[in-house]
Amino acid sequence: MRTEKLPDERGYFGEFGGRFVPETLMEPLLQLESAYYKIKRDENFKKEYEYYLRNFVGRPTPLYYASKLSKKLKARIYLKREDLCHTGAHKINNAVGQALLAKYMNKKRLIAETGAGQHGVATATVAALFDFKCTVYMGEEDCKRQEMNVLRMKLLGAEVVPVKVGSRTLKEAINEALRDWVSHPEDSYYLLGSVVGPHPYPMIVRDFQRVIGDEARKQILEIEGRLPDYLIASVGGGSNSIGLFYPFLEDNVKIIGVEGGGKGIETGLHSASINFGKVGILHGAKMYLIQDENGNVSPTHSVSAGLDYPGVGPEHSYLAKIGRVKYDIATDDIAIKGFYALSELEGIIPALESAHAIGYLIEHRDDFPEKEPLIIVNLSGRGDKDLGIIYALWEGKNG
Amino acid sequence: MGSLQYKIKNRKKKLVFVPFFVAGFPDFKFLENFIIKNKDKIDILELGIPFSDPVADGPVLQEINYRAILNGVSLENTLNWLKDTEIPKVVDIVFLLYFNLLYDRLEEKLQKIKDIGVKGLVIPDLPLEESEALLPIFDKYGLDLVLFISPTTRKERREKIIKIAGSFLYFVSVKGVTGERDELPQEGINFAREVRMETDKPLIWGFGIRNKSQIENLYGLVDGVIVGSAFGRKLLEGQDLQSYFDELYEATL
Ligand SMILES: Cc1ncc(COP(=O)(O)O)c(C=O)c1O
Repeated sequence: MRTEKLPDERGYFGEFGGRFVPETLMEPLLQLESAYYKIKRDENFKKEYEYYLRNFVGRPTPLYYASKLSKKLKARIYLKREDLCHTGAHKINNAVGQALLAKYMNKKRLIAETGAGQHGVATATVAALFDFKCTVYMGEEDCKRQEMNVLRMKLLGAEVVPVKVGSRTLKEAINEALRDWVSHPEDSYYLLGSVVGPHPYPMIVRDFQRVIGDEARKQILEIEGRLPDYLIASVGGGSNSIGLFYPFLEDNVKIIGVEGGGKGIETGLHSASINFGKVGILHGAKMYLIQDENGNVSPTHSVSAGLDYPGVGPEHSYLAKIGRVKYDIATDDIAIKGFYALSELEGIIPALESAHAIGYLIEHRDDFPEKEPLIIVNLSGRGDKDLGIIYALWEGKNG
Repeated sequence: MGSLQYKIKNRKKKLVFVPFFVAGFPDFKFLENFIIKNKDKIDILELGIPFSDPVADGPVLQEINYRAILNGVSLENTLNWLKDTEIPKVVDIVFLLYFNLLYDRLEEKLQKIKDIGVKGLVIPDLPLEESEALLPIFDKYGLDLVLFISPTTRKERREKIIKIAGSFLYFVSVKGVTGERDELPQEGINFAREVRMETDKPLIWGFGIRNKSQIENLYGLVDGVIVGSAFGRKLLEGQDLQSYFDELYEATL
C-alpha cells in the first residue's frame, strides 16, 4: 500500500484526478500549487495554522467513547467529535488553512461553494476573521433546506448568491464558483470545500483535514492502547472521511466510507457515486460520477445536502478501485434512524451527513465478525442546521 | 498544414467567420435549413454538443445547453442528424464538447465523428497538460485539436501550446465565461498583439462579440472571429436571426 506519495506531479491518484479546467484557470491553479508547496514547508505558516486550530477552532476535538451506543451494539465505539469544532463541522479545518494560504498569496476575496451551508459558514467565518471579501454560491434548493446557515453567512458579512439552475444544489454551486473564479482569477481565491475539483485541491483539502485522523490515531492509542478495527465516515465529496482515513491507510485497519443512498438505489434518487457511478470528468477531475449514457451528469438526491453531489473525490475513487477502502451506502431512512439514535442514546444531535455513518453502523453491526469491534466513527458535524428537515418530517408524520 | 489552416491563411477576406450553434437548438430542422441557406457565408461552423455542466459558459449558452438536453440532444443523435444532411459536405465543421461527453468509449466516438466529416474538436475543459497524452489518439482519427490561449496564459506555456495546437488557436479575449460584451476588451487587444508576434498559426478571437464595430476593430489583429452567445440570444428570444447574422458576416468581408 503506497498512498503517501499521491497525487503524482500531474495531480493524479492512479487514473483519477487531473486538471480538466478551462485554460484561463490553469495559471491560477499552477500558482496555487506552487504557493501551497512553499507554505507547506514554512514553519511560521505551520505555527499560525496550529494556533488558529487550537484557539479559534477548538482543537484537538475529543475522541469520545459512546458508551450507550457501544453497549447496544456490542462494540467499542468512539466518536471523533468534529461537531464540537467552532461553526459546527470539520469544514472549518480546511477553511482556516486555505484562508491563511490565500492571505499569503495576497488575495483580497474568497469565493466558495456550499451544499449544507457548513463550508459556506466556515468560509464566511474565516473571511471575517482574516478580512477578506467573501461570496458564497449555494443552490436555491439548499438555501431552502439549510436556511439557518444562509442567515449565519449573511451575519458574518458574506454575500450569498442562490444558484437557480439545474438541480439547484451543490453541483451547480461549484459550477458558479468556478465561473466566478474564471472571471476574477487574479484578486480572488477559490476556497473549495471538499476533496474534489482540479489538482491541487484534492491534495490541499486532504492535507488540511488530516488533522482529524492524526489526532484520532494518537487518541485511540492513548485510550485503548491499540489501533481500531474499523473507521467509518460519511462521504459526500469526501473531506471528513479522507481526513480521518488518511493517517490510517498504511495500517491494518478496515475502513468504510458511507455514501448517500437517498430514497433507495432502485429509485435512482441517490448520491452513491462510487457504488453506482462510472468514471467521468466533472469540476476539473476524473472520478466516479453519476451520469447518463450520453455523459451528462444525472440529478442526485440525499436528505443531507452535504452528501447530495454526483461525484466523489479522486483519491476516494482510487482507494475504492484498489480496494483499500470499502464504500457502502446508507439510505435517507437509515440516516434518520442514526440521527434519532445518537440524539436519544448519547445526547448528541448529529448532522444528517454524519448520521449516515451512525445509521450505517447500527444497520450493519451484524456484518462485522468481531465479537466486540473497536470502531471510530467520524461525527463530522452537529445537527442544529438540520432541525428544520427533521421538524418537517415530524409534521408530515403527525399531520 | 491542416486543411482548415490552409483555408484560414488563404482567405480572401478580412476575417474568417465562425458562427457557433448548439446542436439541436432550437431544433435540428431549423439549424439545418439555416446552415444550408448560409453555407457560403460560414467559413467554419462550430457546433456545440450540449452538456449538463458547461462551466466555461455564461448564462445564454447555459440556458441553451440546458434546453437542448431537455430536447434530447446528444452526441449520438447529432451525428445521426448530420449524416442525413448535406451539412458536412458543404461546410467545414468543428465540434465543441466538454470532455465527459467524449471520455467513455473515446475511440469509438472519434471514429464516428471522423466518419461524418468533422474536421476538429474544441474541448474547453481539456488544457495542454491533459491533452498531451491524447494527441496521438486524435491524430489517429485525423481530428484537429483546437487549443485555447487566454489572457492568463504565460509565455512559456503559450510556446508549448502553439507547438502542439491544431489548425488554429482559439483566442480567449477576456478572463471570464462566454457571453456578449459591448466593447472589445483592451486587455484582449494588447494580448493579441503580443501573441501575434509569437506565431503565424491562425488566431480566432472568441468570447464577447456582438456587433459589427467590434469585428471591424479586429482587422489585421487576428484571423477570424467566433460568434456564439449573440446568435444564441436571438434564438432564445425568438427574434429574426438572418439579418443580424448577415450584418456580422458582412463585417468579416
Ligand atoms: C457535517 C458534514 N459532514 C459531511 C459533509 C460531507 O462533505 P465531505 O464528504 O466533504 O466531508 C458535509 C458537507 O457539507 C457536512 O457539512
